[in-house]
Amino acid sequence: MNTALKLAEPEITPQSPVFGYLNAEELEQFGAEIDAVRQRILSSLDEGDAAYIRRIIRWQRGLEVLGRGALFLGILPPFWLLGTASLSVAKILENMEIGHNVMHGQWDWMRDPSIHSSTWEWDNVCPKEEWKHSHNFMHHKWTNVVGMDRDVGYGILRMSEEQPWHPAYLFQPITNALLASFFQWGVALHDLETDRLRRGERKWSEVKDKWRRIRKKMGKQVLKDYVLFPLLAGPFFLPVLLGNATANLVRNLWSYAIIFCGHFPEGTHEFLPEDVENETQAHWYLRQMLGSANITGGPLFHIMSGNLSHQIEHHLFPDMPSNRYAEAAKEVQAICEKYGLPYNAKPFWAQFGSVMKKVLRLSLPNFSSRSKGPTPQQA
Amino acid sequence: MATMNLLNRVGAKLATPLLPNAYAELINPLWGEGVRAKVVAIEPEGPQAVSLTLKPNHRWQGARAGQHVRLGVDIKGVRHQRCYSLTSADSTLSQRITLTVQRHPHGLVSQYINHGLRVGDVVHVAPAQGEFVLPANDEPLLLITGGSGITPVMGFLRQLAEQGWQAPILHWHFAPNAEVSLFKTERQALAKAQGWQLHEAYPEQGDEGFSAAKLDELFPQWRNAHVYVCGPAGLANAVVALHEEEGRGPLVQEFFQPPAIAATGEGGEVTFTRANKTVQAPATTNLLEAAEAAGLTPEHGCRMGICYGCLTTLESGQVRDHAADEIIDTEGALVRICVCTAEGNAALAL
Repeated sequence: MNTALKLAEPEITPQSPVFGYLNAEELEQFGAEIDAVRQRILSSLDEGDAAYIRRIIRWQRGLEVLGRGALFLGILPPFWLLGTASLSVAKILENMEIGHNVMHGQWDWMRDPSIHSSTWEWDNVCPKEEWKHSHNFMHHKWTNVVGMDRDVGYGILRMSEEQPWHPAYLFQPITNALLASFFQWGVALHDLETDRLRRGERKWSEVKDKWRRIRKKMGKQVLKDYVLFPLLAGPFFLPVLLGNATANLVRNLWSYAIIFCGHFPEGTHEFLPEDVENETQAHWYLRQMLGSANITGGPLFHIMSGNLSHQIEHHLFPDMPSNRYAEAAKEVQAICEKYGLPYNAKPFWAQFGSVMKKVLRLSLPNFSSRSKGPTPQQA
Repeated sequence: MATMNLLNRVGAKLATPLLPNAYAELINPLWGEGVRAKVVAIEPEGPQAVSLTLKPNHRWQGARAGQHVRLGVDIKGVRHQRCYSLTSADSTLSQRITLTVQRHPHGLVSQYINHGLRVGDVVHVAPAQGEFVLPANDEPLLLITGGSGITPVMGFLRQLAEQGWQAPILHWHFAPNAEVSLFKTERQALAKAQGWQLHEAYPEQGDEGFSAAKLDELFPQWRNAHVYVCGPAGLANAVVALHEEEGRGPLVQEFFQPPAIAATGEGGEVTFTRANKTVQAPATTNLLEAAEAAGLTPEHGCRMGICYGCLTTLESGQVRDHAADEIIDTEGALVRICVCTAEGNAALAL
């Protein structure tokens, strides 16, 4: 795809199909076809796409104003419900369809400095710098590589048979529920790699600046949602406080659920560090595809999931505007059929149920030698 | 004032991580971030140009006649920025400003402004800049313009008329022919009312070009005048050369075309301005590698164009973005150095 990148060729022979699916020649063809999808869609971006993101941003801000306004009358239950619901939706849109995607550089092509990956800060306790490192780089480059992609278990859960068991994982169902409820706080602390700090693999001095930045962002967010807006409501301090806390909780639970459905359902592949040595672009594409899972649903569901319901397409093309993933998905699915590759797409409850089963199962040690994924079809 | 500051500070805390203007924009697009202006009138200016009247928002600091602004418009979803001279007289805070844009056959932005822009649209404006401004005291002025180089001087003329300039003025303007001579009627009326000399020359219709002899004939006192020139390189160079030999007053020149940059497609010379280093970067070496080879340690992540951890400001020149398959030559653009190579010479803020 890119001669300037000068990536070394991996040693792949026709006798050892990559992850059991494609030989070297097929892999390159597959990569070229995926590249063609990317080029075609990116070259067709125009004012319609720009209007889409600006419309979503207007809706998000409008809903936030409506939500916070209604909560000032939150002493009346219908207003509290309306306010909390609006604010929850606004926070979900802001973090998922807007913030996450803008910080990926999906909208940088518009060259609008106010909707740009270099300047966007989101409504979340995790500062943009920490997010871009732990997510855009660590997670997107090393997706599902156990020991390299820190999103595999977030340093606190055991989400792969390849992670050694420890008695502490017996409490995994509780840890998992806590992570879901306080997801934004977990995400904020994620880049500190506290597990590695505890084990002495990383020094406090290395993360001092990060911690200072995280604390500052946390302070601003807490001041806004839990002090200033409640104070502004005067006698209605409590309903506003509860409404804001509930909206943050709803956003946490929802984003947790969508994100966990992206890489942990049955059928998604995990990888080992040796799988990614001298990786080519085509090999990376194949790994992104195998390591991600989609959630099927209607247009509104896709928007509310930040289009992470198209997790496969998001991982193949992290900088493609999210409103185009549905279109890319049709082509990617056809390419997968052509090459006999699995394309993991199921409704929300099927994927989420499968993830919860995994959380429970892996809280116990490995009883049998389970395969890392489905039995590969021989290509 | 103190109350406003306190309100702004509390507003910022409530709106964090955004600023209150992000919400004000929902009511009126002019209240959004940065200097913005509403297009209140678009009028044809001869057969090949339009004049825009803009109403800037409260962040506009005003401008002096002759200065230019960077105008930002969105075309097919992409923000494009171009510099245009203001044609209005001195303006303060919320006063309207005007500028004139001549159509170029292959000019994306000039074509859009002439054909696509509508009254009511909101455009982005950077604060006015430029040293092409009138002197503080009334003194003789020699104004020499060619083609669309008339635009900053049109601002002068309107300002001079408003002020009632108390010194002689010659305005010598070149245009291909009378039909495309911008602002002809207005300039003639102003010159007549104010007693200025106006000389129009149309080379296509056989009029003679710029020469020392003709200048002496038209404006014998020109050597002591404040000289302003804005026009095509041939004209400007001739005026500058004559002024160097014989002129005694100051000369101010306005450039309205950026220097052309050769696109070699074979890499080029890359300057890292903060490190003050220049290296030769072949087309096969991305800019991140080139910077590292020069001993720099730019911030970066994935080295494959997906994480945007290496965005760097392109200060001048041009680069080829291999991931997007495009040439980027916008000054100030943020580029992914891990997937960009030099395309001719380039300077990066590293």
